[in-house]
Amino acid sequence: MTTARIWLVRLLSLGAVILFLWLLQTKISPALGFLDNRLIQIGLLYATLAVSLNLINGITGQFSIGHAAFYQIGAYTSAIVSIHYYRTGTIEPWVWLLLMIIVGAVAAAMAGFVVGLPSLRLRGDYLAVVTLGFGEIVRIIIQAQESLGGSYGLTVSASNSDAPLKIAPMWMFAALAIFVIAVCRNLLKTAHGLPFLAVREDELAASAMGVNTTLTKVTAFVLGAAFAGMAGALFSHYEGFITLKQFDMNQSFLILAMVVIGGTGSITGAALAGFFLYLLPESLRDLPDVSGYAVFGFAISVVIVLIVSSKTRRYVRLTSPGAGQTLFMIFGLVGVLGALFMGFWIWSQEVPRMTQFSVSVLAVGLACAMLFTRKRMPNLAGLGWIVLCFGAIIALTYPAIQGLQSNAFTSNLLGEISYRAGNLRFPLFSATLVVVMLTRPQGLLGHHEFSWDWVKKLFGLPHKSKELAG
Amino acid sequence: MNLLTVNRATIRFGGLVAVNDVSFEVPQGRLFGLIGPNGAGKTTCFNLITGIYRPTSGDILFDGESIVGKKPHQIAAKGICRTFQNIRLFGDLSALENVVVGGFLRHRSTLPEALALMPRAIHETEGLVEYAMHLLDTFGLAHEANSRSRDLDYGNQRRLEIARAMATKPKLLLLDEPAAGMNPMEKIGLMAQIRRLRDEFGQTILLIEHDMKVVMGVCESIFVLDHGAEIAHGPPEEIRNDPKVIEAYLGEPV
Repeated sequence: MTTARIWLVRLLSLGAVILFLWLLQTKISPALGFLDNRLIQIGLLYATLAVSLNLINGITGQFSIGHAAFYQIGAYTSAIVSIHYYRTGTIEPWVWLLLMIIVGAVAAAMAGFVVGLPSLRLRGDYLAVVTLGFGEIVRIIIQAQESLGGSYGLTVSASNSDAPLKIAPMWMFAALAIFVIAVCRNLLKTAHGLPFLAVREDELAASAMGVNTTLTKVTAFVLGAAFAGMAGALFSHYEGFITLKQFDMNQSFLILAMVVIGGTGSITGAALAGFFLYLLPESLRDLPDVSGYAVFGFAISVVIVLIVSSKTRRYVRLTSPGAGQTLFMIFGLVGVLGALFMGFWIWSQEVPRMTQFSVSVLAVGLACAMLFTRKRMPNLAGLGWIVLCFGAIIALTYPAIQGLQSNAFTSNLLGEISYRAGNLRFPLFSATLVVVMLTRPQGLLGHHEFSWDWVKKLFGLPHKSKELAG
Repeated sequence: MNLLTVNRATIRFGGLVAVNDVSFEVPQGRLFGLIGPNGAGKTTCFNLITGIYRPTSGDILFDGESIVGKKPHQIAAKGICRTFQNIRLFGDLSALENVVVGGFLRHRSTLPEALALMPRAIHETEGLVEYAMHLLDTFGLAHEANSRSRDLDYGNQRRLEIARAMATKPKLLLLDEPAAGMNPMEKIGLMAQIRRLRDEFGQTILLIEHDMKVVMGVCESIFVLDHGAEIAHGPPEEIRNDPKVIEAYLGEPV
């Protein structure tokens, strides 16, 4: 590529990004309700966090599980600076916010440097314990500081006002996510990304090939922490009020789970997982309460069906492969139709737009992936098998509930319990994690990036094979 | 002129003296063999030279300068690169990417330039990829460039390791049992390859190998270690007939 062409592409993509941000801010965002806006903004924030952790965990292979601490340092540092120095009316809010994002990035980067140092000597689980401890130390130090609000929380306000400062616009969330994704992508697009990957693959061999492993690991920590600090600064100026609970160990594990599910080392995987794994549980908040009988009945039938299905599928394959395949494919078609109907049905429901949108996209995506790809026959049969299992689980749940209710022992234990759907978010999240880890231990996208060539290949269209810096 | 001088190097791990008072010189442009029974301290010697271990006493000079206490990546930058006895490729990276990692040592663009995707970083990457493709071609691996290195067959993995080391443009190449696990045909190919490296690139090579046909076939001088200490050194014909070597290692004349 010639230099002129590089700059042309650069200008064009910058223009496209600015156009997109403008559309998002002036057309899309006002058309959506408050809840939808919030879902998108926080979803983008999680995408940013997942991509930043992916740089440390996925690309450089340093198992860090205290990522919320960097997020927290960015949020609190920028909040304190705002409380002391920001005066409303003196400077454009979004310009100030940009400055605060830089402040958050610098503060978190310094913390990243400090945490990066032990990573020079520690590997794997040992490093994980140190980062975990670091996260808790940061949280506890802030808890002990009254000037930082302690465990009550900190209101982010301007120095000449008491009102919480909520100055983060929608476009800034998208811009930050795009920025972080672009920087990580650039890293992997040039040869500079390879030392990071080499450290992940084999540290000793990397150092023998002249890779400064110390520098590489610390750089990864500093960059990843800086990105998380940016997200933190944005978050504190969006909420106007921050508490310790928003940055506890659960947060760290949530971000980690996003990276793992998306595929460690895959930027697009982390971004998509970050966005959708936040949306998925969040959209279940409004569901009705569930009785303890239903939850346990469902769990029991899942276990039974999983045990039985693994035996029967092999049996069907061995005894009547042709007929079995046809039967599965019919059920697969039923599944596709069901998914499409579900996508259609959800538009008529009173749920956030983002939920409607995600479910419909998933349904259409599933239908396309099943019906139009090269391997549609086995895929459809596979889906049919899942549909069958799912049907069996539903069918078994009812008798399981009946059994639990009629048994004196279990009805004593479960009779009073009912779960709020909102509280089932985390079990659901864990179940997703378990299923992904069982079926795709590398995460959904593995070490790969999402690419249109990959989609084209899936659909049997002409495609070019992967190339570095192509 | 001696490219590498090992001067009375000794390393102790607790009570075990793994390498004991070993001295040898590798002249420029020479194919130098290091042999000895299992556990004799050959790979430990390599680890001393490449900076993975630091000698307890003694000195190692490279290009007239002491490299004791330098980090492995600094030593690689000075021009010593190695392969590993148990193949240590970057398994999930493609063959091409493996070689580019080696070539990256000589890069000039900075990390910020890469993060901002400046033209210089892009052009340098393109240059590195081109150079890596050329190296892969030299080693007959061009058709595997985009395969995951973990998926390559054994012989190709061994060759890829050499290609990766060559990408650092080393002055001294250390090969740790390059023929291990190869079939006789592959071994013949490997010997030709090693000779070509010397003849075409003027590469100085220090080689550990158990296969006597390979060692006697390519090496111009041989150094024999046993229990961490030197028992003989000289040209292949002399080593072949040395009674101490026969007793400790060869068993019968080859």
